[in-house]
Amino acid sequence: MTKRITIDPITRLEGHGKIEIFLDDAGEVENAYLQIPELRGFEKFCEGRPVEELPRITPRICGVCPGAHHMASTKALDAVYHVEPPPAAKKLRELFYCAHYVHSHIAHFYALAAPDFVLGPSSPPAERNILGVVAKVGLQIGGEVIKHRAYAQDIQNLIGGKATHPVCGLPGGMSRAISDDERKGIVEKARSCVEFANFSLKLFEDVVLKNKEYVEVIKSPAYALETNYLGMVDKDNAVNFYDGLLRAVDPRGAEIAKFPAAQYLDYIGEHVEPWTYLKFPFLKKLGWQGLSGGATSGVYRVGPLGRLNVAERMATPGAQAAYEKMFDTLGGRPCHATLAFHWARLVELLYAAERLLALASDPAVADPNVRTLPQATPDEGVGCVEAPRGTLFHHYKTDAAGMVTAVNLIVATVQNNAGMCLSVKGAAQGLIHDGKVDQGLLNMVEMAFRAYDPCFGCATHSLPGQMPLEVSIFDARGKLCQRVVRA
Amino acid sequence: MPEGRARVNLALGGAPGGGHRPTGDREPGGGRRLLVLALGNDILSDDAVGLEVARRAQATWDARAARAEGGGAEVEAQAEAQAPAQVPAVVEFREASLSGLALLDVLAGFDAAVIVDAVEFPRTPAGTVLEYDDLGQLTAPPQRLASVHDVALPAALEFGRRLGMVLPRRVAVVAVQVKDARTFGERLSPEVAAAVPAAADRVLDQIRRWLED
Repeated sequence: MTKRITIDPITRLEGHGKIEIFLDDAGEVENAYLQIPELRGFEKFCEGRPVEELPRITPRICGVCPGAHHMASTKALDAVYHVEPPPAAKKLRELFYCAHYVHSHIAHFYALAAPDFVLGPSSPPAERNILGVVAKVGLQIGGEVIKHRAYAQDIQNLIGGKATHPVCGLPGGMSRAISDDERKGIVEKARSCVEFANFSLKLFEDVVLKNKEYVEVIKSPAYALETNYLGMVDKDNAVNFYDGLLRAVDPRGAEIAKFPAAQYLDYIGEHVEPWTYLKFPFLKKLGWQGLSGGATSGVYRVGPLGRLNVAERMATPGAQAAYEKMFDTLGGRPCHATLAFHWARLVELLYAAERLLALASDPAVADPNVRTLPQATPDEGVGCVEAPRGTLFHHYKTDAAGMVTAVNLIVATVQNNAGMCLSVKGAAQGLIHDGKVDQGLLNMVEMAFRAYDPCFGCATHSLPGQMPLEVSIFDARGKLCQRVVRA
Repeated sequence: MPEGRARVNLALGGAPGGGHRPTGDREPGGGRRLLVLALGNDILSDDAVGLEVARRAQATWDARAARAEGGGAEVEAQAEAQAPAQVPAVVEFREASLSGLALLDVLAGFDAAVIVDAVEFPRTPAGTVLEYDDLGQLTAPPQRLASVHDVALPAALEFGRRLGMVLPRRVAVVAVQVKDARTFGERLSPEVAAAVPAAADRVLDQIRRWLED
């Protein structure tokens, strides 16, 4: 008899996923699936519109990472119009983008990762939130979280024109340069962000790394998944969020491929499964070998851990030290511990802040020449950046008048789809035995996919309430045997 | 202001009506500040219903204010309603595509706020208007992440208050059940669109009740 457990948020708040776990006769996990609802019709929505509107439309796909869509879209426009932005425009875009990272990574760590680690994965749900975190680590830190998120938002607002949905990117550059005074103002904020990033890493060290139990959880087989990885690197194979080549490495860290984003179709294929709308991208060189990890599978992962795994170094000193410490502690690179996504995110927070400071400290970023006017006839182009959640591709085709004829986006969560499914299955198999399921265990299964910070939907709602999970266990005939509701 | 009325609607159908309203600190003399905060994605079909409801409510509110400025009974009625504070209350309309912690910046400085949003409950007919006078009716004390990305609004508000931010003491919610908020598009489903006037009335009723307090 197969039992079926469904973890299904009842109320939709920001799109939601559903986890289904199938138990065998002995109550052991036979299989587990993660299903993510997909938004429909974006490509069609874009067709027939002027392509230069896409940097202002694509950020609206998602309330979570509009800055990433704006940047990928703007870079795609450079390619569509065959235009090279002046150096100051590229620097300014990267500056904006580092601020976007600081904003995003702070929120993720303190609101999402910290509750599980600072309070513990099996702490009462009522305490396992940001309020519980500040109750434990101090209210002052809460103030620092708000302050540095606001700094990052101010910088995005200044350069982007608007904080949530930026309007700064144009084909060939930026709509507005910053003044030298504005640049100096950013330096001050960036310096403070570097300090806060260092503090956050220290907090992680004190609260998580000094707790042997947590380190064991991070390193435990239930959360380990060997896969290939993909991410963007600069000419020295250091992580870069804004520009570079895409590098794929195998589970032992050996390079499988290195290619410019424009060639992504030669390297990345998309597999379709009948039970989910979401596709499963894979490395074409290895092919789709089914939903499995390992060196022979084409499955790869992106995001903070993926980026650090593909990179040989970090481009800034503090982040480099943090990068070395992480891999030393976790047994070398690449690291396959899914929960290390959280640690990698903090290493990246420091890199983003240091890079922000370096870019803002360079007077050249305030050079007024931020636009090369497009001269060529638009046709087709690919733009790619590392979104906070992983590699993001925008691919547009237009007619000679610049009207969109085709759009293809590959977002991070889709690329991590296979990895998330495998991680959920691994955690369920490692944690659920004899058919016994309780709320603590459910949270620990959820932790496996929360590490990826998946983007489930793109409507941004904030109606109050928790994300209730209902776990129903069915027998093979579909009869309900047990129900666990986490309030 | 992170995201407000002034947002550009390039080829997105265009937001009807509504100019950018002044923001800033509390009015001199301590006049109350009330906020109508619309949430949603205006290119995701029914997900935009909160925005549509608030735009309609604002059009009605502005028309009434304009009539009041023209003199007559309306002025007296409004003055009477606001009499207890002796200072005119300010009612501001904002739109945002934000959640959780990010909403603190939008809500800061207001005494009360009506949040207008789309909801998707199981088995609730599309176009149903749901109303809550208080966040507490929707949830027990903040317990859990509302989304995988951020914190639920009650937890965010509590967090902000503990940090000493001035946040609305009262937060009401008017929400409309969606039919389809997963397909990109600029039109509401007919049954959801039909609910907009009634929902806008509920928003205005809530504002009036607060003004009469």
